[in-house]
Amino acid sequence: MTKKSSSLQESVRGLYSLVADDFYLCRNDFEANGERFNSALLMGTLTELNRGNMLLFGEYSGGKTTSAEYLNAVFNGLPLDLVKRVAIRGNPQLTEEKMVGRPHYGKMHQGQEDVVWQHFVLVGPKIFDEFNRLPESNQSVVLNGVDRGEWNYLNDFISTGRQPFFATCNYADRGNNGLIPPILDRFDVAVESKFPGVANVLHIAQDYDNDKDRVLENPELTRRALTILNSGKPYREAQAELEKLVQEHESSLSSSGFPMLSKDDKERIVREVRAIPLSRDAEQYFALLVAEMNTSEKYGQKRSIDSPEGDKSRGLYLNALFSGCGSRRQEKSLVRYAQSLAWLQEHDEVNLDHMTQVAPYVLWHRIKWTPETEQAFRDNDRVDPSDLHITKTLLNDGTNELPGVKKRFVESQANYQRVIDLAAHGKIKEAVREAKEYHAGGKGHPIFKDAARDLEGV
Amino acid sequence: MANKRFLEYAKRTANPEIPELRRESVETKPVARGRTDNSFTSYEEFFGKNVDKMPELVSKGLVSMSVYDLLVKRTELLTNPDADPEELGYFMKNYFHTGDALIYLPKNVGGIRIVHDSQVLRDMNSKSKLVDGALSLKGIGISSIQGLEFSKDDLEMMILNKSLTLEQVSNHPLWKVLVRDNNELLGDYSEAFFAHAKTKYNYDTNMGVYLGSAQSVPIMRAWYVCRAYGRSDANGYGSLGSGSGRLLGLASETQK
Repeated sequence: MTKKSSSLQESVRGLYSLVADDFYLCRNDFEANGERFNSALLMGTLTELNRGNMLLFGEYSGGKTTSAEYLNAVFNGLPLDLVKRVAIRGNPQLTEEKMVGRPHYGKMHQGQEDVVWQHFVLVGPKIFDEFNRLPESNQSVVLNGVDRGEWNYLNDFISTGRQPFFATCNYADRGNNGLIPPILDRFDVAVESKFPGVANVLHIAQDYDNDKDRVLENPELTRRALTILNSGKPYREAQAELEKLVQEHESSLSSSGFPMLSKDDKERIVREVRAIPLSRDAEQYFALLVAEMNTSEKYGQKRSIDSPEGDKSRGLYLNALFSGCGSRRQEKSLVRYAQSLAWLQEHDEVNLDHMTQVAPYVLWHRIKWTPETEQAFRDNDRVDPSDLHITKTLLNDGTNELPGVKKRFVESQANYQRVIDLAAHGKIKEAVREAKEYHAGGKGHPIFKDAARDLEGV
Repeated sequence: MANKRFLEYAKRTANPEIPELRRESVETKPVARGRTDNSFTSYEEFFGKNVDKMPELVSKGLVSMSVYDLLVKRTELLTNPDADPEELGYFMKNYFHTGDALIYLPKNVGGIRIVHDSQVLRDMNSKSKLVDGALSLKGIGISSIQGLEFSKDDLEMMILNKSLTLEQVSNHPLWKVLVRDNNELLGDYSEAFFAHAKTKYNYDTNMGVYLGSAQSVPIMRAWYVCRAYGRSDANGYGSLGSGSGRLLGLASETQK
C-alpha cells in the first residue's frame, strides 16, 4: 500500500496527540493496520474531519463531554469557553424554543413574525450534553438538524450544512430515557468514553481548577462572539463575523504550538476523504455485511416488524441474530468513516482493516440483538459495553458457534469473486447458475441470492 | 435484464481473466411430490479420520453435509424413478458422517445438545484433543454454543438405541431436530426409506436413534447416518478419530 505525502494528516495527528496527551487523558483501545488509538478520540477526530454525528456513552464524569469540547475547540478554532457556552444540556423540560429557536417576543407584540435562533444552532460544531435526558417525544425535534444540518422554526429556516455534532449519554438510569431508533440511526458512530487508568486519574484529580484549559480559553473573544450571536444579524453575516474571531483565536493557538487547520484545509480534507476508493476486499466485506443486514430468506427482506427467528433455520447469518434491519444511513456512515480513517492513515484506498475496525462503532448503537444472541455472550469476559462487544465479535471472526461476518467473507470471497468475474466477462447465465449454487437453496450466503436477482433482473 | 449497477460494479472489480468455467452440475431432476427443497448436485468424499479430513474439506472451500442435506438427497433418489442407479447405490450403500454435532453434557449434568452445522466440528483438526473419540469441550464455554438441548429426563422419555416403526420415527423428537423441524421431509424420507428397506432387506423397523455415553467433561461428536443395510440409523456415538470416517463436502456455499 503506497502512502501519500501530505502535511494535513500530520496536522490532524498533531491535534489528536495534543488532545490525547494533555487534555483528554485516555488509553488506546482501537487498532487499525497496526496503529493504536483511543476509540473515543479517534472517532471524534474522524467526526471532525467528515462533519459527522457521534454519540458518546459512558458513566457520570467519564469524560464524554470533555472530549467533545476539546475536539470542537481545537479542530474548529473556537474558544473552549464558547464551545461550552453554546452546548445544550439535556433535561426533560427542554422544548424546541430552548433548543432551536424562539419567536422574537418584541416583534411578536408588534404583530411581526421573526425567529431568534438559539446559539446552539448558530454555532456550527455542536454538543448536546446528556442527550438521553430529553424525552423521546422531544428527540424528534432535533432529527432534521442532526441529520442534515437544516434547522426550522415557524416559517424560518437555517441551513448550517453538515457540522460535527456530538451527543453525550449516560447509561440508563432513572433520570434518562431511551433514544428512539430514528435518532440512533442518525448518529454515524457511537463510542464509550472509558476509564482512563489510575495514573491518568491521579493526574486529572490534581489538575486543581482545570488549569490546563486556560490555553484553549479566551473570555474576551467569547464575549465578542456572544455579542454577535445575540445581535440578530442575518445568519450569513453573523457567520462571517464569527469566522474573523475564529481566525484570531486560531492564530493565538498556533503560537502556542497547535497545528491549526484553516477553513480551506478542512474543505480540502473533505474532498480528499470522499475521493478515497474502497479496495476490493473492503468492498466485498461491505457487500456481505449489507446483504446480511438487509435480506431475509424467509421474508424477502429484513424488516423491523418481522421476527428474526424466521431466518434461524437458514443459517446463523446476522439477519437471524438481531431485530430490525440495515439502513442507507448506516451504510453511508460506514463508508465515510472508513474513508476518513484511511485518509488519516495516509492510505490510497480503504482496506479491509479500515472497514472491519470501524464497522462495530457504526453499528453497535443501531443494532438490537435478540435476547438469544445476548444470552450467548452473557458470560463472556470483555472490555467493551455488551452491545459493542457482541457487535465487534460478530462483525469479525465470531465465536465457535456464531461465526462472524469476516469469517464468512474469507470463506465466501473466492466464490463471490467468481460470480463477479463471470458477470463482468459477459457470462451472465453461468454467473447466475453459480450464484444459485452457492446460495444453496437458502443455506448459502444471502449475497449470492442478491447477486442472482441482480443478474436476472428480478 | 441484469441490473446495470451490478454489471458496473462487476466490471470495476473483476479479474482480467475469464474464470475457468466449471463442469455443468448434474442436472437436477424434477423433484417428487412438489417438494421445493432440491438436493445438492455436486459433492466430494473425504474418507478417513474426521479430524484429519475436516481441514481438507474446509481448505477446499466446501461445507460438510448435514443430516438434513443427506435426507433430502436420499429422498430425491429414492422417489425418482429416473434416478442414476450409480448415484442411488452410492448414497444407499454408504454411511455418512455429518457436520451436525451432538454435545454430551458432563455425566453429573446429563443430557445432550444438538448443534446444526457446528463450527466447532468445522474447526477440528488432527491436533484436536479427543476423549473417547470425541472432541473435548473442556475449557470451551459451552453456554455459547447454541443448539437444542434435551435433559436427562427428556431422554428418558424417548425411544433410544433400538429400531423404530414408521410412526415412531415421525414422532421422534431427535429426528425432528435433525431434519430442522421439516416434518414433510421426515415423512417423505421415512416412507421412501421404509419401502426401500422392506423390499431390499425385509426390514420393518428402521431409523433408530443411538446415543453414546457422557464423560466427566463435555464432549462433542458428529452425527452419522447409517447405510440402508444399517437401517439408516442416526448415530451419535461415532469416533472422530476412526480411520473409517466419511464426510461429504458440498460444493456449495457455507451452511452456517
